[in-house]
Amino acid sequence: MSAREAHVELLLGRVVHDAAGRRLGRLEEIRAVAHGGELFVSQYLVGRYGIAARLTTESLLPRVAHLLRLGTRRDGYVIPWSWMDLSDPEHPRCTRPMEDLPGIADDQPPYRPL
Amino acid sequence: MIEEGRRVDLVGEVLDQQLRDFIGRPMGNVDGLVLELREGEPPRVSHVETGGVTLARRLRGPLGGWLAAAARRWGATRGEPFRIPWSRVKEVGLNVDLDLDADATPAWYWEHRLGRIVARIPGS
Amino acid sequence: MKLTPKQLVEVALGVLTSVGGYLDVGAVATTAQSGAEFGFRHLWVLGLGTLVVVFLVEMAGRFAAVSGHPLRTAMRERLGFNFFVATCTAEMVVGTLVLASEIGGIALALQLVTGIAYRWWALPAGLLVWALLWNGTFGVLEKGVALLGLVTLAFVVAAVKLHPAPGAVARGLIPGGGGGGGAAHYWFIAVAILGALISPYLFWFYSAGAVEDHWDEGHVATNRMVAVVGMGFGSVVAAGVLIVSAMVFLPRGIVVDDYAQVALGLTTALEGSRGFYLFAASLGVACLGAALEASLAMAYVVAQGLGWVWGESLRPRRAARFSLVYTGALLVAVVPMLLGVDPLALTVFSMALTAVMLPIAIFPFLVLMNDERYLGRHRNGRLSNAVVIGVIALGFVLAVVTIPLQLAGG
Repeated sequence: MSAREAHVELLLGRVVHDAAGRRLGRLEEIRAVAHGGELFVSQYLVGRYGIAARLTTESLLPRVAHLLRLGTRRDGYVIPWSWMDLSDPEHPRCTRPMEDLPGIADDQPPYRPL
Repeated sequence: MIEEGRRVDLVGEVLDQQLRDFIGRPMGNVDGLVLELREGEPPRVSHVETGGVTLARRLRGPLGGWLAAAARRWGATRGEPFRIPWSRVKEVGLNVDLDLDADATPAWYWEHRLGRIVARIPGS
Repeated sequence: MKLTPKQLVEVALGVLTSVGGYLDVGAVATTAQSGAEFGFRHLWVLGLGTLVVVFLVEMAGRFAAVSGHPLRTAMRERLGFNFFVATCTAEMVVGTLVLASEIGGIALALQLVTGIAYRWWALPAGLLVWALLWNGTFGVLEKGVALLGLVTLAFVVAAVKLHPAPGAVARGLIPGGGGGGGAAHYWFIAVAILGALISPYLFWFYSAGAVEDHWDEGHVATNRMVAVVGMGFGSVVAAGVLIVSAMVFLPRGIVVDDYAQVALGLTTALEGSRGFYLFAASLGVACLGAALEASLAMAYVVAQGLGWVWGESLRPRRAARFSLVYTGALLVAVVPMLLGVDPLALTVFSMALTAVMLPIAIFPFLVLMNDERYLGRHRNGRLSNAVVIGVIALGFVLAVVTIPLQLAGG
């Protein structure tokens, strides 16, 4: 069984679709956990606002509003590793419909409250 | 070694962070991160990649092609991406600290070559 | 404000940054022109520019001191490679033009003193800057330029000797319009002053300088003071230029077209040829400092973004790629002056380009100064964030308005 590869820097920003082909957003972050000195992917974070999130971790306007304490509202999905199909690295696919996915909550890293 | 159970954000905490060698000297950035995809198992972070070849792949348009050609022609690794096994990573913080000697890696190839030329100019 | 001897030495970084980044050929040109045409009515613009720069310099220094990373390193790390490529390219282009203008300033100062045309001084000036960078260390340059910078106080002395009416000066500090006709020109000069004062390269330089000087978290309070005193120094001198120009040229209806006229202003104010030479020395020193800073800033931008070994404190052979960046930049920058490009025109042009890039250059402050990983409890508070957002907004205004105003009112 050959191990395939994916590159984090090339996955970043790719549009992710759900099992029904609906657009979930763009890949913003990949969370990993350390076990025995190795890192294993645990979740993929897909954000509604996309690559701008790399700049600000969220979209610019909500973030600026948050900085001025004018309220927050973040949008997106958390995809557990087992529900992500990376066989085509240019088109990452979630293997479940969007209704099954937990949303990104305000207090989950990397969306830490400032 | 990264402590057991520690959560790491691969994009926010590892990608593009500065690499430092075993005595803290800068040796480039984490330009790429390789995941080993395994059937029925979570993907494993297998390598850090650094260097022009990796960067060229990230650039869109003609700039990427030009950089890739330049890396093949003049790069230390002749067009092959420079990969560092994840086992050589000691710690991930504001920098990614490696258990490597920068002098012995392609990361400092051009620093050494140009350093020899620079050394001939008085005052250096 | 009492300063310990150690703090006095640290203030040297602030003064160097001020003399080189704040008070440079652009600042002298715009404040002189402003005084000659509008008297004291742009003093509030100077005040605004100083305030902005003090805030941003303090942030740049705090970031480097607390995290040990200069701003440009963190910009690559936090904002990604593509952002780095775009901003690095822009900084190199604009930076080279700014560097060329500063070399022009040094050459002009030498022309004033010797009578030999500035074109002949371009290469020696470039060589001087290069030799200082190549052979010097950061500490030596820092203290050397700070000491030399004291000569620019001649403008302050001259301004005081001319006895400006305090009431008129005070009125100039209140924001207002130019009154009467020429509103477009008034605002063009206002925008030009801000564009000359708020140069991103001065933040990259100061941030890298804090790392070169081995600042740490204990320097946070010192940094605040250095930012105020350092930038305050430059702004007081710039105000001096404006006041001298206003008192000498405005009554005579002289429009400032070239630096010889500004020299004339100091000559008149200080009664004699001493003033003339002091002006030439001040211009030369300010531009030398700026040239050193601008070339180092370019090397910092490239090296810190690509993870190279960097540092002016290192011998060139120990930071070969870094040293070759500023060497290459200087080689390119002497060309315009060699070709006889008008230094004043190039200055105005490069300032306009800097103004256009300002919003993108300042935006990273918003992200980085709030990053918990780098700053911990030293993150920006609400006031500092509001200031950054205000500066970005101001930057947008400057960016949009600069080119049309230049066409309409320049």
